[in-house]
Amino acid sequence: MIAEKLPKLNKPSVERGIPEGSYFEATFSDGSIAREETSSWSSFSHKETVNYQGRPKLCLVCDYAIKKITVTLAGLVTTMEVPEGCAVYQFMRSERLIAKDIEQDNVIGRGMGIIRHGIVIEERYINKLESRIMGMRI
Amino acid sequence: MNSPIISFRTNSAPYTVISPVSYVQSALGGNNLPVKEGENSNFTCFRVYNNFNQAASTAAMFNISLTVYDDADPNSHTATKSPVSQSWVRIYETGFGESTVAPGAYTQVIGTDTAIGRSGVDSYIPEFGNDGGSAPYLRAGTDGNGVGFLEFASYAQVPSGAGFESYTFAISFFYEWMA
Repeated sequence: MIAEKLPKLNKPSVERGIPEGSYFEATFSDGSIAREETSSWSSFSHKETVNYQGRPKLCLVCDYAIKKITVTLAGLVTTMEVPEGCAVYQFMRSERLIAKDIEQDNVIGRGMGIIRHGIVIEERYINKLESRIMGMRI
Repeated sequence: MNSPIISFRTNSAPYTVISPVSYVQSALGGNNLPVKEGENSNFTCFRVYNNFNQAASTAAMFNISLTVYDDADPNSHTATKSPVSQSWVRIYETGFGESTVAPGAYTQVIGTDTAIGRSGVDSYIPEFGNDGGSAPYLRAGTDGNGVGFLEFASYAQVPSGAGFESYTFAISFFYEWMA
């Protein structure tokens, strides 16, 4: 099973910088499941430049075929069913804000997308600042 | 991997941490003076490092962009507040680099001088990543490549009629990563 081949983690996701209550759950093509608490997306993904609405976008694309993926952040949950032959990426979006007397880091969103032949055909983004799920599909 | 460790630093050794970025003007009669209306501030150069102190297992940053808000009010981070004076702040990339030991190995580039907040321009996307590629990418030194940085120049272009107010801006550096 794919999930059994993944490197196992001992470090809680919060200590890796993932906000509390935020996680992913990916169901591979063989039905096995990878979860945030026990696996690191970066350990089974690779860097790839894809076409996102006509512009290049650098992504961490999963090395294995996924058929379903769920991500959560700030109490919002979104799930994508992945068509056969497509690849999946996901990302955290963070912000460093500096102003007079203020310097802070925030995770402001979490997203994932589906790639077919190097082109992003769907993306979902949990916008924590606006508490809503955004996205695109072509 | 752990989340990136970002720091804004000066562009000369020992690359001390800076915060905030101040816009001042030097002119006949003094230095670090307020910026006069209708004139430009001095240039401020700063570097953004990922993992300056080379901690283990630190994630790289992808799809970097910068923007400027009128202040640090959380509402100014959304589409509910219109940009006003942040369009005075201009930013462009001036270099990139990395090194496996002490961050360094600087390469100079001249990016597009961008007035962030001007109509239709809500962010500045660095033209080069720290590896010299065209993707706005900042490595953390834990992928066998070295600790990366991007260098930026910024100045304020204050329009005529700005008056005698004191303005506070917030610079926001966005990036994507994955643990």
